[in-house]
Amino acid sequence: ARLELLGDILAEKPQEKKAINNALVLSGLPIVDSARIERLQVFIRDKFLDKHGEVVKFSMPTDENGNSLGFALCCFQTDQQALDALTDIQGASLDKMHTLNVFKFSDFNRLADADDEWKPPEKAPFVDRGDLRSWLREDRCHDQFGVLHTAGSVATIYWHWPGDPQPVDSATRNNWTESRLHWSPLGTYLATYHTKGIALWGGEKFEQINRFQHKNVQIIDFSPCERYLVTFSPSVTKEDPHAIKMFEVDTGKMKRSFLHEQAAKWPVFKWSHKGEFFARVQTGKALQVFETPSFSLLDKKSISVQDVQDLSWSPTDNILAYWIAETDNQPARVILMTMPEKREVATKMLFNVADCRMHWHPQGNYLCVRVNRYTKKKLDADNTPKYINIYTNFEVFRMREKNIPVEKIEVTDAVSCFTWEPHGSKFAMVQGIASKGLSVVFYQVNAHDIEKVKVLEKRNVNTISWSPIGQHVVLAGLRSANGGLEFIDTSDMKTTANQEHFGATDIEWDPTGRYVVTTVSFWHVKVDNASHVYSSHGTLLYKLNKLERICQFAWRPRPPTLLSDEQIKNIKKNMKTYSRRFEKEDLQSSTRASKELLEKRARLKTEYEKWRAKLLEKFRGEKQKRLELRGVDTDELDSNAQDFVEETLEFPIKVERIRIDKLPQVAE
Amino acid sequence: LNQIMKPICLLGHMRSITQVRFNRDGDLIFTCAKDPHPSIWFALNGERLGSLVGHNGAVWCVDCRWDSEKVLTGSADNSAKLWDTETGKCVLSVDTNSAVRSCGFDFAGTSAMLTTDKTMGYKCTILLYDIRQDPAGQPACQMLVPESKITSAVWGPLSRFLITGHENGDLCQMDVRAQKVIRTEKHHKGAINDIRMYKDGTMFVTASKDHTARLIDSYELQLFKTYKTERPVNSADISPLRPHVLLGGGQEAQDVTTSGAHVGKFDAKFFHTVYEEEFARVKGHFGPINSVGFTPDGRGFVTGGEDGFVRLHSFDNDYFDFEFE
Repeated sequence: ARLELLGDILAEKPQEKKAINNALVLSGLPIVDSARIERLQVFIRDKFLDKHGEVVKFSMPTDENGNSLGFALCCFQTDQQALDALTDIQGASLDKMHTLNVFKFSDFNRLADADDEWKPPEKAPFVDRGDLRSWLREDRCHDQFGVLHTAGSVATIYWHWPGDPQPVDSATRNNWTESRLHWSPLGTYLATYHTKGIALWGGEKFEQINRFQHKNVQIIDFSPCERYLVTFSPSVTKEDPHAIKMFEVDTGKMKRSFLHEQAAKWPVFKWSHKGEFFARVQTGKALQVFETPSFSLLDKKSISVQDVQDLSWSPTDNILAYWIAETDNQPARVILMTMPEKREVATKMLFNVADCRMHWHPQGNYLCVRVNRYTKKKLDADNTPKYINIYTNFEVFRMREKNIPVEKIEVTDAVSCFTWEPHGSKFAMVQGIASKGLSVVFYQVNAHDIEKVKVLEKRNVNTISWSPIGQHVVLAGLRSANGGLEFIDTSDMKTTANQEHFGATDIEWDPTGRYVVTTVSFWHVKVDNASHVYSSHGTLLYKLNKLERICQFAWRPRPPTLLSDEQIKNIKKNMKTYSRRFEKEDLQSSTRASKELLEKRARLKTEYEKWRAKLLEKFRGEKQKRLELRGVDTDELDSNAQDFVEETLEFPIKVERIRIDKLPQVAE
Repeated sequence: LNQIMKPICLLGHMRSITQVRFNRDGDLIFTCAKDPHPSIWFALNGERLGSLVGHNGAVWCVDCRWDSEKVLTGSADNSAKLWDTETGKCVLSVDTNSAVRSCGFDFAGTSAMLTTDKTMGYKCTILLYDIRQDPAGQPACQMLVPESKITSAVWGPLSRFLITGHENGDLCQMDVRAQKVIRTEKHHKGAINDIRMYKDGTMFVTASKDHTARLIDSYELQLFKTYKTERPVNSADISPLRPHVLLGGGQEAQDVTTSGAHVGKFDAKFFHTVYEEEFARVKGHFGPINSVGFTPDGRGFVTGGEDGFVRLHSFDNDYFDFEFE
């Protein structure tokens, strides 16, 4: 017992501090002579080190002549400061010829002890993942969807056979995810959340592809090309203070991690369309654009932009849009810049701006910047601006036209739910305030103007959901609204159907634009959890309500079509010939379904006939006995027909009462 | 099954119907109820031939001999009576110790079997009488049923044994003359309310409180098919013409609601014998259906209900053409 106590006490013994983790080695420095060495030291400390904390020790070794040797050592007061500095200045360039190469002093020992003989790394065994896109080759081009149900404890992937969804083999798993299901953008992977991190599943049997460690991961993001996965966890520790980690999906390796310094909306890092760049805003200060696969800053430095507020990538080109807040002497601006050239291709000055929001058209054809403008601005007691009389302007950048002209639309009402029509040139929004009645307004971007094409009044709508192929749209009142669904064909702005899914919390189109699914999620409402599947025109096709406590319904995305616009146009032209073939196939498949039933029934029938045959054999064997017992053959109803006696029965058809008042006198 | 011709309603009883039976030729219908007067009707048009007067209590069971000459009834007045069909005269009456629950003529028509309820000191008993003897006072033989009382009984093939259904769901073959239980099977979880033989006696259907009816062979009591419903099944019959089984049932007392509808909500259910799938329902009764039966030629069916009504249906052409794919 005393020994144990001793152990506790010993643990508290002050340890000699091994000052390793707060020390950094900076190499790649220029070699300077003794005259300039002090200037170099000051320069390094000023530019790179002082801003990260207190440098308690700094030393730049020299040779016997007083020339620097190209590296320096520094110690920070805390390990954290050293780590911050390392992340920030690694790879920073001093000048054209010199780039800082920084590493931890503790690493130095490790590197120094490394074998002189280079041993080739062990070849990792090749793991055949199979065909990760097998689901796209399904006979009838059915899509898959995932459902998280039974209060989140069971997840099932289904084939969407309309009216009769079939669970995919071995894709119903208990506790598959600890919070939600997340499909990768092209549908290749299914990501599941766990306390330890993220797991990716794929292939025909949804086998585990890879695991990514990030304790208590809360939210994730994929690059659009699916090559990279970004994870965020609020659980940071001293040893691992980076809340955001970036992984390479194929290898599972963590490529880079970041501190999460300021409150921001997820995703903090926004990806360019091909995954070549990712960027974030340092609010008010700079744009940080990183490139892959090096995961370092483009041109090794941030793009300093004073008062920058937010950025957003074009979904189809390497163009970065960002906006700058207005200051006392400068108006607000929206700037479009190409990457990696950093060439400005469009700029718009905006006056009296309170706030901006950027909405890209899904095919990158337009950028709409929603600008909240004010008529008067006051300053509060603590110098925060207060805006009075806000109205909204929409600045539409025509990306495909020469010099990117910008057009303006003004809206005086309050605005929400701005959405672009995919593959089209319309946009829609909800205008007005709930108490006075909301309207849904549709605009069309024409060659020379932007036209307001339709106003739908008195619509209790809080979500505008476009079909991913355009033309059809659903105006929905989700959650607190009554679950009303209005299906509109925007080619003629006619309402094709009005439906209601009371209490619906989510709405999602399938990737082909054929189906819309509304779900009442158990996460929001505890009763009537079900998903309803509608056609694009609003016909209710079927309800997924046999699963208990559905939490989430998620269609599996598809990679974009390989067909060119030209080819698509041709197919639409020849729709009739294709229709005939598909109708024939549909007919065959419906009879195929009952074929199984027919086979089952045929089996039952033969079994029954066999059973009956045995019984009939016994029956026939007893015939003699029966004849003896009754004296006649009564096996069939007409077996003793010769004994039948014909009988005529008379039934009165009509009974009539006639009153006889006087009896005739009878002569005596 | 969309349309069935409007049924003929036989309104002859003031109280709930307990059994409906046809004679072998199918031209007469025998109905008994919780009132003391069973009736005989012409199946052709529903006209009453007459009533059998003599009992003093509810009549639980009725059977007609194969030659249609004699009728047998069993009553809660602790007696069973033999009647002349044509005249309605009671030719024989035997007293029992307790209510007569089931009765039936044997294949030859020379013996009658009765089963009595278990009450007050008297065990459930099976009694066999030789009805050629006149006056028949004493049973030719009898057998006590010690455990679960018999709720339904029929003669087996060639009348070698009785097939009995019990309150606990048991199904037995009883050789009364040898005083022996040949075999017992437990296919049902609840009381067996009715047993009806198929026309050739090789198999029968049981109707049970456990919401199912089952098709079973007479020789080995082997279960072959099960027809599932949501309510206790009071009676079932097998069509002599088509692979169909007819079920009539009840509703738990607490579910009964008053309905002002002209046509009642309680329905007779039709199942496919082999596929065990329900394919039709016929509404009409205002209360649970207590007894069902196909006409011997399979061209119609009769149902008797708790509401005191007996409804005689004829199938239209669709019924005979109707096929499962």
